[in-house]
Amino acid sequence: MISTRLKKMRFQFLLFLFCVFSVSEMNAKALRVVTTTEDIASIARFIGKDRVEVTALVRGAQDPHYIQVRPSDMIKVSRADLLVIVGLGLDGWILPVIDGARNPGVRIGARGFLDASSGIELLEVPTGKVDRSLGDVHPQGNPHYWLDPSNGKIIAKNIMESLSLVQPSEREFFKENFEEFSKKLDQAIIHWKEELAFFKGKQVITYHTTWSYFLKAFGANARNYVEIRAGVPASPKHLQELISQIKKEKIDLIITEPYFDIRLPEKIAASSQARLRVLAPSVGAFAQIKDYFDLFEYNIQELLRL
Amino acid sequence: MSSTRPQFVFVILVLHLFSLSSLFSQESQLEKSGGTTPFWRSTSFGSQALNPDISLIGDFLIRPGARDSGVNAFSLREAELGLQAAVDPYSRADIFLAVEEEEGKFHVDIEEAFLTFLALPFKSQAKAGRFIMDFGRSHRTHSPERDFSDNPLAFEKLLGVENSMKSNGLSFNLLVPLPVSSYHEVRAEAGETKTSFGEESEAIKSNERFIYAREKNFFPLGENLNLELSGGFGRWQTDGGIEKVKSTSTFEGRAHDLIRSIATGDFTLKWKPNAYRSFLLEGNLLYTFSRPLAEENENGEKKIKHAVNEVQTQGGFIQLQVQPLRRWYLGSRIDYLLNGDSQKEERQYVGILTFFPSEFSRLRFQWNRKDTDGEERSHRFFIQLTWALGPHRPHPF
Ligand SMILES: [Zn+2]
Repeated sequence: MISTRLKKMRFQFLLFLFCVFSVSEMNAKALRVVTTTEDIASIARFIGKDRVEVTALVRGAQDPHYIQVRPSDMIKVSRADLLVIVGLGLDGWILPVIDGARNPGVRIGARGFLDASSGIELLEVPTGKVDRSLGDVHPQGNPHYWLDPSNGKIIAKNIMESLSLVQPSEREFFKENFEEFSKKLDQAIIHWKEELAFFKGKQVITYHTTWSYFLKAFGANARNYVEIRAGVPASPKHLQELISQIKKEKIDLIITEPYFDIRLPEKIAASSQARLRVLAPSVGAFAQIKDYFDLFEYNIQELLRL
Repeated sequence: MSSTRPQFVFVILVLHLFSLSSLFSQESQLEKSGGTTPFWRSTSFGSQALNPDISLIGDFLIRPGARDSGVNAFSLREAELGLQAAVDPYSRADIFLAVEEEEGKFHVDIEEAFLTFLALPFKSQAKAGRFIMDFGRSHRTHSPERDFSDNPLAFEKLLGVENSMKSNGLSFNLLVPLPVSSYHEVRAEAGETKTSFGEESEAIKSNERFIYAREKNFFPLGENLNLELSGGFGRWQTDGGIEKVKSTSTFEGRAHDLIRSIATGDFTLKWKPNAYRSFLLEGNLLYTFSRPLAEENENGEKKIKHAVNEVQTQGGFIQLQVQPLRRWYLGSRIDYLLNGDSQKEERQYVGILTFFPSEFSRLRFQWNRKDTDGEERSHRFFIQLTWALGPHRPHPF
């Protein structure tokens, strides 16, 4: 009796081991891609499809400027074949994560490391001396470039090249996916621009410089910001100035991000004729935004409600 | 002392060869793959990599009522200069110099200066130089950045005048390869320390040799909730010093006659969902015991003053910090110490209110109440103003 039970247990144990091995074998085939944000993760999924397993370290609803690094992030990066970051200092918190991950394959300079901003035409690159009296500025230029959909193609191309470096045997596969993605994106951009035709030339107020690329892509422009300077919250005086500016220039739209204090922009909207829209700065900012295309669909639908 | 140095040099050389070999293998792999992208992709960090990140922290302390006890009421306690840079793709250097005020005079001290080999085989890392030892979250934090204006009694009484244990040595750590999302690291350190346990160590002029091992575990309990549960054990041995230990000390004899051990255990529970709110609970226990190696001095005379030949001192603290508003922190700490020499118990209760006018400056008010067996209850107040310039790269967690 006991011996048969033991045998049975041993068999189950072997079966279990076999399963564990086969699962890990399956995982070993898919390239492990770790990204800082969900936007880049989404694009990486379009390029790598079933040959990659993509993990984003930051949730789309989190403010990417202030990220508390977790030891589990190091574990993820330590197992990664490719690490993709937004760059331009937005996700500078990744540096200690890379150091702690002990993975030579994804260190800065290695082929498993990609700064996705490579080749992007940057906005708001500060000229002259930059110091903190200007607040917590983005000293290397505005890093929110993924919000211009045409930059999505540059990010995708960078990812395609890096994936091909890490896994040269899949080069053609990644290239096909990139072409498919960029064709789909081109068509979507034409459609989105038609939908937002009324947006051209529009003057808006935004909370942070998050929307500079988005506004430029659709021909609009930020006249002023709710925060005084990047990272410096508004003073009562600044709020008054904003309200009178909105009235004088007949500005009718204020855009904010879900992770900022909504009370300030609400106050401004209530004291003026402008309407307030909470747009999604990233994939995953709201539950229904599952990928890079959803991100623009959502924001455009929000703006169409104007 | 001198015999250990060539060994260090040898180990450092071997470590460097290891990291260089991984560099070359990277390059040759790239050539084979026929990569079109340059090895050094232009990154936003590239320009900074050439110059070290330079940071400066000023720590100004006001102690109302301190003049009565002969301590300056106003002191620039410390100015800390940090130089941090990548040396090559696989190692980095961190140097922290501290200018400290002591009895009206300033002196420069090397807080830390070490080279880290970041990506050695088998997910290991090594550190060589002078560094603060890892006895837990508070201990591994530089003093101007610690959560309170003073230090826990356990650090004050067990870790010498600087309230932290610094060593000149080597540190080796390994990420335990487990198929889980939690973080497990084992660490072994060896070298010499000048700062040492207890007050009596002031008399020991020579360094003490030590070995120390630590196990570090971080468990992700939720999206933004993390638990560190770690512990360590170390042994220190005086290294043939000839200075006599002060007569107030436990053991009168040649310094090399002493062996001491430390056991530490600590936990940190941290919740930080965003920049506006956070919660931190940290506890730390330190347990030291000193034992004379030989009970006789050179002349064969017994010199032990105490009947017991083992002295145990134990201490610890538990601290809580909450961030109810973006720029405000409220905190409390309870210290406990059982002094092995005097067999007296000491307890301290601390409360703080911290305000950050901006991300780079900090104002703190602190109140301490201390109860010692057989002594009058004492109160202390601190006002601390700390400011930071430049990119001071904090310990990640
Ligand atoms: Zn920003």
